[in-house]
Parts: sequence; structure tokens; C-alpha cells
Amino acid sequence: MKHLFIINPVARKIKGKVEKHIHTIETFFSDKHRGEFEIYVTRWSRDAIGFLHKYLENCEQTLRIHAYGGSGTHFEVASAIAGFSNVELALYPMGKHDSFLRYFGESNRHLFSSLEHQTTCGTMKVNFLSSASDSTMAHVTVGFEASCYQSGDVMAKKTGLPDGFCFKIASLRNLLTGTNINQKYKVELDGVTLDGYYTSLFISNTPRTATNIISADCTELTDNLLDLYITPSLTTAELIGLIFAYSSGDYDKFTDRIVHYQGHKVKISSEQAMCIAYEGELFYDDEVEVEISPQAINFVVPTERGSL
Amino acid sequence: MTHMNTSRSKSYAKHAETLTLASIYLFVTASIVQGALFVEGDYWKYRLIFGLVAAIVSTILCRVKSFSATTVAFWCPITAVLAEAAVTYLIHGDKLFFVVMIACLAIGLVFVNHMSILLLVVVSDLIAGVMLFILDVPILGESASSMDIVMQLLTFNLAGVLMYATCVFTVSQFLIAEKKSKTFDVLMEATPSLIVLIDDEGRVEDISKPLADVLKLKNRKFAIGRPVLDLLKTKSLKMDFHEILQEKQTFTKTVALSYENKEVWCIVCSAPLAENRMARFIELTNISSVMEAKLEAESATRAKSSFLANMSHEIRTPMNAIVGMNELIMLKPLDPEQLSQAMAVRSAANSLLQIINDILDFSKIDAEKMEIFNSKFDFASLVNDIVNITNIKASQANVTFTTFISKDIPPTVNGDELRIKQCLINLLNNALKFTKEGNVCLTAFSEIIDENKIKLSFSIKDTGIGMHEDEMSKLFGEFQQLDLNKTHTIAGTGLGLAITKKLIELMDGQISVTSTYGQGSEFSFYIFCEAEIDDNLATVAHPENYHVLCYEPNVFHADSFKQMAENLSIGVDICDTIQSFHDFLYEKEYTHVFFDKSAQRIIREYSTGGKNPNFTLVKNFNDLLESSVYPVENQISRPLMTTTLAEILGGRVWKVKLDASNPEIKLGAFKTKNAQVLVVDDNLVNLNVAKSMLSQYGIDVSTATGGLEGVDKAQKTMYDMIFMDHMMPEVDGIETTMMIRGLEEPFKSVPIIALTANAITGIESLFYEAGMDGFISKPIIVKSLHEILIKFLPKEKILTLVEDSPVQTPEIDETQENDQLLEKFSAIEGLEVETGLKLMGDMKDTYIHTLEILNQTIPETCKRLSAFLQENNLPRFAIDVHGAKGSLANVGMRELSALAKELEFAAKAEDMEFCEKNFSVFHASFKKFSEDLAIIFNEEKKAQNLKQGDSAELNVLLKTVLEALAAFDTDTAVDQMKVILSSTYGSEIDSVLQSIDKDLDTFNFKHAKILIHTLLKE
Repeated sequence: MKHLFIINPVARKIKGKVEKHIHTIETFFSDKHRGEFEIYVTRWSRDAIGFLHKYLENCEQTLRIHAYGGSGTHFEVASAIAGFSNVELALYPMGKHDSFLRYFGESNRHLFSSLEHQTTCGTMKVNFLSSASDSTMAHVTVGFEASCYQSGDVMAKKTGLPDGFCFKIASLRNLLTGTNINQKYKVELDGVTLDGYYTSLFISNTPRTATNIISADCTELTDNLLDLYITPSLTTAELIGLIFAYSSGDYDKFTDRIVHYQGHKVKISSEQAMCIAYEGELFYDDEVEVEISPQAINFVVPTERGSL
Repeated sequence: MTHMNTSRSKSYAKHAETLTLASIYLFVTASIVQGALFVEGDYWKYRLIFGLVAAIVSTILCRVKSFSATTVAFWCPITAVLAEAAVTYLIHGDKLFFVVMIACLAIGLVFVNHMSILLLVVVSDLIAGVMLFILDVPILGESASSMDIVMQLLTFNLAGVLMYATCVFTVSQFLIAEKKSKTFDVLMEATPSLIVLIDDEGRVEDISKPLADVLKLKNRKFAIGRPVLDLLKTKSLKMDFHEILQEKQTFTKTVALSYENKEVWCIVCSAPLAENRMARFIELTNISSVMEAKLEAESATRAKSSFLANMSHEIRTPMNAIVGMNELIMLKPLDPEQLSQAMAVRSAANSLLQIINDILDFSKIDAEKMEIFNSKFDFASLVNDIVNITNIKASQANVTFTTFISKDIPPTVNGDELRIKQCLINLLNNALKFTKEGNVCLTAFSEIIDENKIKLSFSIKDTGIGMHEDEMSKLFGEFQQLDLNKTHTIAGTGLGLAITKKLIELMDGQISVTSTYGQGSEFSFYIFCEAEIDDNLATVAHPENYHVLCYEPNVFHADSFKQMAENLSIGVDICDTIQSFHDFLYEKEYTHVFFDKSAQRIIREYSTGGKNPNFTLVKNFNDLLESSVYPVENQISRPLMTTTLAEILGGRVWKVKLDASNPEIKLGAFKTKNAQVLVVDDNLVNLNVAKSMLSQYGIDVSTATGGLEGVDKAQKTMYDMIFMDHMMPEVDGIETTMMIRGLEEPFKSVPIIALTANAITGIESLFYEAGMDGFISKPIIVKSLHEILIKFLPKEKILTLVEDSPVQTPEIDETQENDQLLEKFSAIEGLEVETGLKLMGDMKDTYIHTLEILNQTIPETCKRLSAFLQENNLPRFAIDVHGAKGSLANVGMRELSALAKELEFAAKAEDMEFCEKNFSVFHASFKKFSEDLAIIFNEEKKAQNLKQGDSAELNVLLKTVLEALAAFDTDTAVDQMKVILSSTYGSEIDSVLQSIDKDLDTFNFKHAKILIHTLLKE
């Protein structure tokens, strides 16, 4: 088996330490004689996609790709390799949220950081949320929550303050300004259309997301279905009432306000610009279409015993 | 293996950062100055300490690598404001001011952007300044001097003005930037171009509306901030764009993008926004319609090329018939008008064939099917061929043709000789076409690139009509003929230069042209070749030992000679007048003298004085056949080449030396297997000689006694090579060769070797021009024959090539009978039996048989020669006497052969007087030789107890032969001839009978019938 490391040099835990990480990898492989390996340091967003598309064109042997970065790097690599049966994916928690890895438990995060485990453990087939442009392994958020993410992200980037703090400040500001609280959406889930004003729409592949903001407990990683959680329209006052519970992960207090759907393919559109968050990737568009790709990824699951 | 990129370039608002930091430092500096001026109490210390803290914190923030500049820009003013608030609070205990400061911070946090930060700085600083002034003055009033107050006022004013100016400037810059941004927005909305600006992260900074539309984005702003690859929906498009993003430099190229299952052709123009940064500007221009048109045009061009190639091929077939039939017509008795018309047909057909060849070549190149085949070739041989071919045309065009071939060129070069030759001939023909008078000069030199590679450069310079600059730009275009008014008399497809350019480009070379209208043009090209650079084309050892005099009345040839002599480092005196030549010749000592024919008389006079330098007569090509007034050792034709000059000077000239290891090659030194050779010669003696010699190599030899018969055989059998006599009646060797070259493949490609008795320097050019591959002088020398066979016979057919081992000698008939017969021949006056035998590889049988055949042909030859002379038909006389010359030389009749040679030259020079005067001598000697031979052969026949035939019986038998021939019963005819030949009827009749028998052997029934009728009449 050959190992290919994709390193995002600006991921939170890598920034300024690229050489150190490379040295660690090289030392690990030279000391342990783990076989052939390559390291590719990305140069710009989605560089890994272009690189891997070309790399995999001529790759016939089994390849384990190690995505050294945050959620963005994880789904960037995942989207490039989805469907390749000879390619395995090992994810390293080097970002802010690493939301997909949270599914496997906070207590196991050190296993995902372990080169020993990531190079030796076995894999499991997992689903993958794909769309025409972006793809993700964890979730897609549309609406108010995404706009809070976005504002908080901007603030955090500019001030260097903690994400949680910025998210709360941004949420407060959005509440005060009424940004994306009630927007009209058209949702098509496997051919069934749902029209209405919603506060937030949440498409999930894994049951748990960053900092427990939403606990999508109904979601199963291996059920070959995507889960859609829709928060119907709320007033500003109702939202202020829920915001603290919401932001602290107190899910029970507002579960009755969320409608859960399951399906294979969902298309969400709006006449206004929709704020969309593909895990760490935030942007505006007027349409988003997400489909579940069943068992598309050979995901490396590091365990204490070596394999699942 | 590590793919390590340089760290990501930072994409930050440098403009804002610089201005904001400048503002902070200014504020801090002002605070320090303020504090320093308060000379009493702790007040100034607080100000100074907090000012310094603010400055240090700001500086540290700027140095923290993990902080973005935006973060620094955010925290610096906040630090300053906090410091200011803390100073105010600690000194004055003023909570209100402190609260105002914190409120400003909160606003900045919530509505975080650069503008709010700037506003924060402006507002807080102004408030702080005002409040400090208000608060500080009463404090100072108690203890401070008036000077302190004045200083403080000045300081605050100065600090306030500075801060205010900074803020105004910064805000104005942001407003300008915002205005520019709006202007840019308008531009990106309105432009029809597909433009995207990408930042260092590969994310979209801005995008034009048309491109957003193509990407199916309803609002172009949706794209801003997103990775550009995310906007592309398909894998192939992502990969295409990924390739584009990898280019670091500015570039423009045409790419095919996969969009909506279609191939969209775009011109991509990309430029980095700063050096070594990823951020870039990309513009796409959809040229699909243009490309489609181009592809269609290319497809049509390919179809056209294919059509032309097919048509050219199809045209060639009937063209061969036209050429061949026309040649047959020309063989018949024609009146002058008919002959003129037939000649016109021949000329037109040849032109048409050349055009077809051009079209074929061009079609091949156009269809990218032309391939370059590199192999080692002799550079001297290439130049020799080129010069010989060009010389003929130059002499016809009345233009001097000169060369300068650098001695430093390696003798063996690895390249496509055929294509290099084609390029040079095209350019030289072109130069000759457009030069009415003056000179065409071919120059060649080489430059060493590395130990195995040279840059081979050629130039063809003429003094022709030249070109205007605008004409030069379209010179190498297809089907281009410049200035129709100027060139209307010049024939051609206009493809020559286009073909030449493309061939040169195929050989990794380039062609260029310089020209002055009315003065001439110079075409230069170079190619790169592999070569053994440790050898030179020509060198002269100890050049200082040579002193050369050259009389050359033609200024171009004189210059060329001088250049070559200098190249060989030889001292030379050049004279352009007879008088100066005379003076130099008598005044100085020379080792070598080169002179024009007009100086022959001076040379003859000079030679009688006992001085004897090496003389070389330099002739024009047209004068080659002229005999010299003064016999000199060397006679060469213009243009003189460096190699020739070096050779004459006794220098070393590189040449193929096949026999270097075995200088004494004997006939049949190797054997062949299944080798088939055709010999075409009208002279039976020569045919027999050639056949006998070739058979010693185990070669299956076929013969033809005329050109047409040769062509007929050459198109039915794939011979390994053909030996072609040059001068034959009716269709000569040149014409025959051209007809063979017009046949279909593979018959047209057979190597043809000229057999010629015209051993004159330069004559070979005629053969090469006709498409022959080499030549052998008659009488055939074993060594030459050996070399030619080795060179042209397929290698797999050569069984044993004996070089180092003892030479395999042919079987020699050493019977006593033959020796006795040869002894008898030795008694014939003028017959050098040993010479003849040597020429025939010591094959006594062959020699005797050759004499026998010669004897049979002499009466007929004599008759023909007499008749031609009486008819004043000197051209035909020259051909026949040329044949006789060769036959006589072959058997060792050297003196009589020399006389025949003189007669031949005289006939060619239309010197009737000489011919009439000398032919009788020749005729008498020839006839006597025949009689002497006949006596010996008759005696021999008698010795063989041949019965004396009866003339009546002979008549009956001959009539039977005639009848059999009329009924196409050749078997009966041949049988009857055997009966006839079993008796003897006298030498003359026997000789004719032998001819008849030979005619039957060679299917020349018509001639056999004529001879039989002649005998019957007699």
C-alpha cells in the first residue's frame, strides 16, 4: 500500500508548522519502514482536488490518502476520491471543528492524530454528501445558522477572538438586524416539494456536529440516507429565547420546533440569496443540491485495537 | 518524496494595514511627546509608560506570524484606545471617558470592519485629545510655568493635527478604494468578457457577469470568496482550470474546456497580480466558433491534400503513358514541325511531372505525413550532386554559379540527405529563375554546438530581381508567386518555398531571407545535425608550401576562388586579364596554375620554357566536351569547389574509400545470391564485356540493346541495379533513365549506373540530373565495378565480401587452345592483348568471345559510320564512333580507340573537316583489324572442322528462317540458325550470320529480318 499525505499548510493546527509535520511523517516512515509515501502540500483552496484527479488517473495500487487539515481539507480530499475502490481516506483533526471526526467521539481524537493508527488500522465504507460544486462528509447548513456562522467566521478571522464568542456576537447582531431569520425556500426532497418560510435547514450525514450546536440524533452514518432538519419560521423574540439553549447545545428545548425528513437527494432554492455552509465553507447562492453517495468512501477508522 | 510549495502568499489588505499602523504609531508618538513635555509629577510618566506599552504591543502584534494583518489592524487601534482610556482613568479618575472608549470598542466589535475601526480611532482620539486638554490644563496651572502651558498647547495642537490629518487621509483612501471598487463593480457587470480575479487562496475576488452567467450563478457576488474550482461543476472542467492555476507566469494560450458535454475553445489570458503570488487575473475568450471554423478548414485542407495526393498519383499513371508514347513518336522519322511539336510535348510533360511532384510533397507535409529520415551521408557527395545539377541550369540561364563550401564542415553528417538536397535545389532553382544576369552563390559552413552536434548553415545569394519588404512576408506562403507583373514569365506552382520552409522546420531548422529590390536576394537556412566533428571536409598539409596563380576573367568566380584559397590558407594571386596573368606567370614561381581556356596559348608558350608547375584548365560547363589546345593534366569545370581545389593541391580530401583495405581487388572478389542486373548498351561488345564481368560475381545478367527495350525490361522485372550506356542511338541513356524514373514504384527506384566512355570531369552532372545514381567509365575497371556493386547491390544479396582474406580469383581458362589463340591475336597490329585481358579480369574466354563479337560488328559499324559521314549526320556519327571507341578500348586497341575518341570529339564539335580527314585512316585501320581478326577466327573455325557451307543451301535456310519469323515461330527460326551456323560461309557472311543469331537471341527480329534480306540480296 502506498500512502499519500495531503497537507493544508494554513489549517489551524498546521499553520507555521508545515515543516515540522513533514519531518514527523518522514521520520515515521523511515523509522518504521511503512513503505512508500508521498507528501503534497496544497497551494490554494481545492488544489488537492485538481492534484488528486490527475494523480488517481494512473494509480492502480491501493492508496491510503491522509488528509492533514480541517473540515475543508477533509471534504476536499473526500470529494476527489469518492467512488475509487482502491483509495482509502484517513482524516486528521487539524482544523477548528473537524466536525465529521466528532462522530467518532472526542475521546478518540488522539487516535485520529496518530500516524501509527492511521497507517495500520482498517477501513469502513461511509456515505458522502455530494453536490455539483462542493461536497461534504458531515453536513450542509442553509439559512440563519449559516449566516451566523459566516458573520462569526468573519469576526473571528479579523479579531482572532474565539469562534464560539464570535459566533454568539454574530448571532446577536443577526438577531438584532433580522438577517436570514425568515426566508422563503423551496425544498425538493426526492421529488417531493416543500415550500415555506424557514429559519434554518440542516442536511446531515452524521448525527453530531461541532460543539453540539445541533444534535441531529436521527442521523445514521451508514443508513445510505441523508437527513434534512428544517427549523420553521420563528419570530425574533422566539429566536432570542432559544438562542442561548441553541448555542449551548441544549437540544431538548427546541426539538419540537424542528421537522425531520430523510431521503436521497435534496434541492433547496430561494429567490433571495441563501447563506450556505458546507461545514467550514461559507457562501451565498440561490440554489443548492445535495445527494447522498452511499458507501462512497473507504474511511480509515483508527481504534486502540488496530482495526474495527 | 515531498511536494512542498512555498507558504501561501498572504492575501491581506496591505493598503489598510499600512495606513492603520501608521495612524497608531503617530498616535503613540504624539502621546510620548505629550508625556515627555510634562516635566513635573507622575503624570508624564503615566503617559509615557502607556504610550510605550501601546507602541510595543502594536509592534508585537505585527510580528506575530499566526496573526493576520487584519487582526493586527484591528487590535492596534484598540490597544491604543485602551491605553488612552487607562491613562485618562488613572490620572483623572474619569469613568465617563473610560466608558466612552469601551463603547467605541464594542461598536467596533459588533460591526467589525475597517471603516468602523478607523472611526473608532478617529472618535476616541479626538475625544481623548479634547478631554485631556481640558483636564490637564487646570492640573498644570498650579505648578507649571507659562512656558509649560504654551508647550503643552503646542504639543496637543500638533498631536491633534497629526492625528486628524492621518485619519482624514486614511478615511479618504478608503473612500477612494470604495469608489474604485464600485467602478470596478460596474465594469465587471458591464463587460462582455469572461473575467475572474483570484486571490492567493484560489478564491474568487471578483468575477464578471458573463462568466457568472456561464457558471449559472444568478448573482455574480455569490462567487466572491468561494474557491474558484467550486464554481466549476464537472471534474474535467475542474482539472482544466487546475492546470491553468498552476501557471505562475503571465501566459496566453488556447485551451479546450469541457463544458456541458461540449468542447468549448477558449483563449485563456492569465496574469499574476503580483510577482510570485497565486493571486491572478484570468480572462477567457470563447473562440469556439472560430475554432470550429478552423477545424473545419483544417479538415477541408486535409481532404484537399488527400485529394491532391490521390489525384497527383492518378495523373502520374497516364502521364507515364504520354511521356512514353511521345518518346516512341520521336523515334520515328518526323519532319521538323512534327519533331518540334513532339519536343514541346516532352517539355510540357516534364514540367507537369515536376508540378505533380511538388503537389505530392506539399500534400504530404500538409497532411503531416512527411517524415525525416536521418542517416549518415557524405557531405562532399551532397554538394557535388547539388553543384552538378545546378550547373546545367546555370549554364542554360547564362548566370555564373559559384560556391563557397567551408573546409571545416565534417565530411560525414547524419541527416536527411534527400530533403537537404531538395531544399537546396529548390532555393537554387528559385535563385536561377529570378536572376537574368550576374551570379548565384551557394555557401555552406558549420558551427560546432557540442561534441556530436553541428549547426549546418547554407545560404543562396543571387543578383536577381530582389523583393520589396512587403513581398518577403508572404514569400513562404503556399501557392505564392510574387508580383504577377514581374514573374508572369516564370513557371512554377509557387509551392517550392513553402515546401522548403516546412522541410527545414521538420529538420528543426529555420529559414530567413534578406533582399534588396532590384539588387538580389539571399536565402539562408540552418539545420542541426549530428556529425563527427574531429574531421574536416578538406585540408591541405603545409599550405605555406603552395603558391597559386589563378587567371579567372569572371569576377564572381575569381572572388569565389580567392575565398576558397583563403579558407585553405593558401597564398594566391588572382588575375582577371590575360596581360596580368602573363606578367605574373613569368615574374613569379608558382606551384599550381589555374587558368581559363583563353590563356591556353600562354601556357603552351610558357611550358616550352621548361617550367612546369601543375596546370589546371578551368572550363565552363558548356565547354566540357571541347578538346584542349594544350593538353593539361587537370581539367575541371566551374564552379570550382573547396574540395576540388584541395585535391588538386595534393591535399587530403575526404572521400569514400571502399577499397581502402584491399587495393588490388580482383574480378569476382565476392559472390552474390539472386542478384539480378540489367545492362543496357547498343554495343554488343560492351554488352558481352559487362555481362561476362558481372557473371563472375554470380549475378544473373539480363541485357538490352536499346533504351526502349531497357525500359520494357525494367518495368517487368525488379532488377537490383541497371547499368546504362550513355550514348545510344535512338533513345540514349539519359532519356532511358528518365523514362524508367517515370515508371511506377518499385520499378522506378532501381539504382541506375551510367556506363560512359566520356571520362570528362563534370560529365557526371548530366547523369545525376537525369536521375542516375552513379557512373562507371568505360572501359570498365574492376575496382570501379567492385565499388559500385558493393554500394548499390542489396547487402543481403552479397554473400562473401572478401577483404582481408586472400582474394578470390575468378576461374581462368588456361587451356592450351586459348593460349595459342591469344598468341595469334598478339600479332595483330595495335592490339594489346594483355591490356584487354586485364580489363576483363584475365578471363581469356571472355576476351576471345568479345573479340569475336567485335569482329562481327565491325563491318556494320563501318558501314554506318561511312553513311552518317556522307549524310553529314555528325551527331549519329559521334554516337557510333563513341561505341567503337569503347569496344576498341575494351579489347586493348588503345591507339585506334584514341583515334575514335578524337573523331567523336570532332563530331561533337561539328568539325566536319577533321572527321572527313581522319575517318579514312580510322576506317582503314578498323577494317584491317576486323580482317585480321576474321582470319584468325576462320582459321579457328577450320580447325574446328566446320564444313564449308553452300550459298544456295544458305539461301534456302535463310528463307526458312524468314518464313518462321513471319509466322512468329521463333523456335523454328532459332533451330534453323543453328543449322546455318554449323557451316562456314566466309568471314563477312559468317559475321552477319552471327549478328542474325544474336538478334534472334535478343528478340530483335526486325533487325534479323533486315540482315537476312541483305544477305539474300547479296
